Amino acid sequence: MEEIKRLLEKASVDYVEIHIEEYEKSYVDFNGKVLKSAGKSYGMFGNIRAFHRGGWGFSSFTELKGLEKKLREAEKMARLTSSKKGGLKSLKPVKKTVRIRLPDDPRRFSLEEKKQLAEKYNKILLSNKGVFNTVVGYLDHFDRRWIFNTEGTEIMEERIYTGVRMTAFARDGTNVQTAFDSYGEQEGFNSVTSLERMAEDVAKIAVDLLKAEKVEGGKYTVILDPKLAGVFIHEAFGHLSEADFVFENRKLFEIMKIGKRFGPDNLNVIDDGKMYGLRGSYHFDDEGTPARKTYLIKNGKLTGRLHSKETAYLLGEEPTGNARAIDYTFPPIVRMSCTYIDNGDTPFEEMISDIKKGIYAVAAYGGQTELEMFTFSAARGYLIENGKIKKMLRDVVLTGNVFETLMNIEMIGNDLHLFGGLGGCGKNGQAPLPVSDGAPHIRIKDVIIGGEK
Amino acid sequence: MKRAIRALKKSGYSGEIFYVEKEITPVEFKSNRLYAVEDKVKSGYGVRVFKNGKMGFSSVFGDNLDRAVESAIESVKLGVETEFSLPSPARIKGGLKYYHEDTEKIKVKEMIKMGEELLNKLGVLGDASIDISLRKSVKRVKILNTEGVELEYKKTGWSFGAIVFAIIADSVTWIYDFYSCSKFVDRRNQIERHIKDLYRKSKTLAKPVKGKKDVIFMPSALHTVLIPISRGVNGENVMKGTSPLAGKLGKKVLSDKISIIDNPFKSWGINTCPFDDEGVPTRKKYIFRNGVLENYVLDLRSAKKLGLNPTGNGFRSGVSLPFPDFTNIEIAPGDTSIRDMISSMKDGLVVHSVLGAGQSNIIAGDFSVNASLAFRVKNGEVVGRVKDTMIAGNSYRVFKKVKEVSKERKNFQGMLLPAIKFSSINIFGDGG
Repeated sequence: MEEIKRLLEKASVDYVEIHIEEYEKSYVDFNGKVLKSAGKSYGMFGNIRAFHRGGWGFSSFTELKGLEKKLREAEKMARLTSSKKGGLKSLKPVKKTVRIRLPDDPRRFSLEEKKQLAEKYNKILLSNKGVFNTVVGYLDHFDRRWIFNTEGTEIMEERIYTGVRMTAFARDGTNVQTAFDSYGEQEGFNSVTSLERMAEDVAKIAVDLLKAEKVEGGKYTVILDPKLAGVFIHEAFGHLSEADFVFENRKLFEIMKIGKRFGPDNLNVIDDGKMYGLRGSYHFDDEGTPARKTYLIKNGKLTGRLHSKETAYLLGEEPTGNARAIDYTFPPIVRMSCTYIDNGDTPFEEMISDIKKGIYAVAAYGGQTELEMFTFSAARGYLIENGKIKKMLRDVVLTGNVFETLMNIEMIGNDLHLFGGLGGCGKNGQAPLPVSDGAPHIRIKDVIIGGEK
Repeated sequence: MKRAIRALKKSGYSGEIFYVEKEITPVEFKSNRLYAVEDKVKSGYGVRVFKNGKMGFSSVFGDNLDRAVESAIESVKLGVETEFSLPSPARIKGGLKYYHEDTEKIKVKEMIKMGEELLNKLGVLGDASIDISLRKSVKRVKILNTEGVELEYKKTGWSFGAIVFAIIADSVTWIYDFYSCSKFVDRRNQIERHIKDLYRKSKTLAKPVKGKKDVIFMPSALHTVLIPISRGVNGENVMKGTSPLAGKLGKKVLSDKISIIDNPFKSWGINTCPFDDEGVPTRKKYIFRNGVLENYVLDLRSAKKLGLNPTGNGFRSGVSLPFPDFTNIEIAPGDTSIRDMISSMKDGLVVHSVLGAGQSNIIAGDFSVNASLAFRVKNGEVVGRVKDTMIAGNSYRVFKKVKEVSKERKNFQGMLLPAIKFSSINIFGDGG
C-alpha cells in the first residue's frame, strides 16, 4: 500500500483515486433435494480513476502490476474527455480503518456447517407436500476495501454480508407458482440460523398461489405492505433523487425543485447510510465521504438529494456519501443506501376498514422504472372487500406515474420495517449493489393494475 | 494451467480449469456530452474438480490459480453429486467469424468521433437529452481438462447505441436503439433514422385503448413475450421440472409461423463462438421449428440429467459455474412487410418498448408490462401514441395466436428479430 501512496504523488491531473478490494465468499446452493454447489471464491479488484477539468478516465484491473502505466492511461482518458464544465467538491482528507468485530463472524464457521444450515431450510420447504422443487442458498461475503486519493484520504473498511434465500415451486398441472423470501444483513452467522418460520411461509405461499385467482385489470385503492412499499420508494422515487440523474435530465431538474410538494404532510422519505448492521449501510462511500442521514422528502416537501463529490459540485450542494461501486471493476456512481418511508400513525386495521373494494399488495417480484413511470409486480395480492381481506390474487402488477402516486398516498402506517436480503439494486450495469429499503404499510388511491382478465 | 491439470490427474482427480480475460473499453456520452472513457481488464479462473461422483468448485479473480484449485479440492468433500463427465477432445468447427483485428485496434479517439457525429445528427431533436454508448471488447477464453481438452479462442465485441429522452406532447418519452456484434459496423445512419422516426411519431397522442386487441411487438419490445419462452427451454428449468415445456420435445407448442434458432455460427454475431465454456463444440439448431419444440438449451449437467446430448450451451458469468444459455437468438422471418402488418390491422397497438418485462411469473409464461412507447392503429393507420397502458397475457398462449411475422428483421442487442403480430391480447389503458 505504500507503493500506492507513492504512485499518487506522480499524478499529473486534477484528482486521482486508487481503489483496491479483496473479497472472499462462501456459498451453498440446494436445488430440490440435490446439493447443487458449495464452495468458496476469492478475488481482488482494483482501479485508478482520474479526473481532469470535468472529464473522467478509469482503468480497472485484477492484477497489481504495471500500475504506473494504468495511472497514465487513466490520466490520458480523463484529458480526452475533459471540458471546461465540471469539478469536484473537495473534502477534508480522512485517515481511518474500520474493521469487523463479530463474535459469530461467518468465516469462523465451516462450509459443512453452512451446508447443514441451508439443508435444514431446504428440508422444511420440501416437507410441504405441495412443493415439488426448491432453490435454497446460503451466502456470506467478506469485503475489504482501500480508498486512496490525491487529497490525502486513506481508508480501509471491512464489511461482511451474511444471508439466506429460499424459493419454493408448487405445481398443479401446467400451473406453476413460486414464492420467495430472503434474509441478509451485515450480521454474523447466528443471524440466519433461526429462519424456520420463513421457510414454512414460503412453502405455504407457493402452494396457496396455485389456487389464487388472476387479478382483474383496473383502477383500485391499494395497500402496499412494508416490503413492496420499500421497493416502491426505492425504485420509483429514490432513483429520481440521485443527483447524477437529476443533473443529466433538465426536465427532471425542473421537476425535482427543492421545497416543492411531492406528497401529503405526513410523508417523510429518508436515505441513511449509517444504519450500521443493515445490508445497505457503510461507514464511508467509495469516494471516502462519511455516510450520513439525508431527508429526501420532509413533511411532504422535497428537501434533499443524493450526491457524489462531482454532483455536489455541479449542483452547488454538499456530498452526502452516496458514491458507491458494486466492486472495484466499476467506478463509484450515485446510489442509495438504506432508503425508507418514515412512520406515520395509521394502524393497519384503520387503513383497511373503509375500503369497499381494493387490493392488498404484498412483497415484490420486481419492478422497473423509466423516470416518472413505474411498474411493480407484487409477489401476491389479496382482494379487500368491505374492509376485510378476502381471497388471494396473483399476477398483481401496479403501474403509474410516481408523482401522481405519491400525491395519492392517503394513509401511512406505524409499522416501519427495513429489508436487506441477498439481492440489490442495479444501475448503469452495476448490480446487485447491497441496499436496504422499507416503509410502514401505506395506502394509495387510484392505482392502475394490469391483468389478463 | 497445464501444470495444475497434471497435478490434479496425479492425485486422482478429474477436473477442468476455465480461464477468461476480458478487456472492455466503453466510451460514454451522457446528456449530450462526452462523459467518460474507461478501460476495464478482468481475468480469473473457475476450477471444477471431481472424485467419486462428487464435485468441488472454486473461482478466483486475479492471478491466484493455486488458491482456487486448493479451495475446489477442499469443497469436494461437501458432496455435490454429479452424474455428468467432462468432455473429451472433439472436432471444433473452423472458419467462424468472431475475431476482428480492426475492431480490437479501433482507437478511443475514433470511437469518440463516431459518438460525436451521432450526437450532432440527433442534436436537432429540440431539448432532448441524448446518451450514446460505444463499447469494444476483447475476450480470451481457455479451457483445459483432465480428459485432454485444451481449447482457446479470442473474440472481439462491438456495441453501439443511443437513448434519447425527451418530453414530447407533454409525455416523458424514451427512444432507444442498440446493436451488438463482434465486428465494428457503422450503423450510425440506421440509429439516427430509427430514433428520428419514432420521435416524430410520438408527437401525436391517441385516445386510450382497452380490451382484447391485436398487438404488434416490434423487435425492440419482443423480449416481453420471448423471455418466458427462453426460460422455458432452458435446461436448468426443464431439469427442475419448473418449465411448462418439460416433456414436450417433438410437440407443437407454438404457432407454426414461429421458428426460433440458436445460432453460434452466425458471422460476426455478438455471441458467436466455436465451443462453449465447458469445452463442448457449439452447434446451430432449431429450438422451435414451425412451432414444434426441437431442442432445449443445455449444458453438461442438464443434458445428463435429461438423458440428452449437450447442445454446447454451457456458459458462465465471469468465472462462475456454467449454466445453460443461448448464443445468438434468431427468429425466422415471415413473409409480410411491417407496413402491411399495420395496414391490415383494424384496431390495435404497435409496441416499441415496454417497462417491466420479465417481472411477472415468467416460469408460468406470464407477462404484464407497461407499454412505454406504443402507437394505436385504427383501420390500418397509426393514429398516435398511447400512454399509461398495460398489456398482459401469457407467452405460451399468445405464441399460439400469431397472426403474422414480418419479413424484415433487426439486430436488437445482438438478437436477430422480426416484428410479430399477436391476436387478442388484453390491454388496459387508463381512461379508456
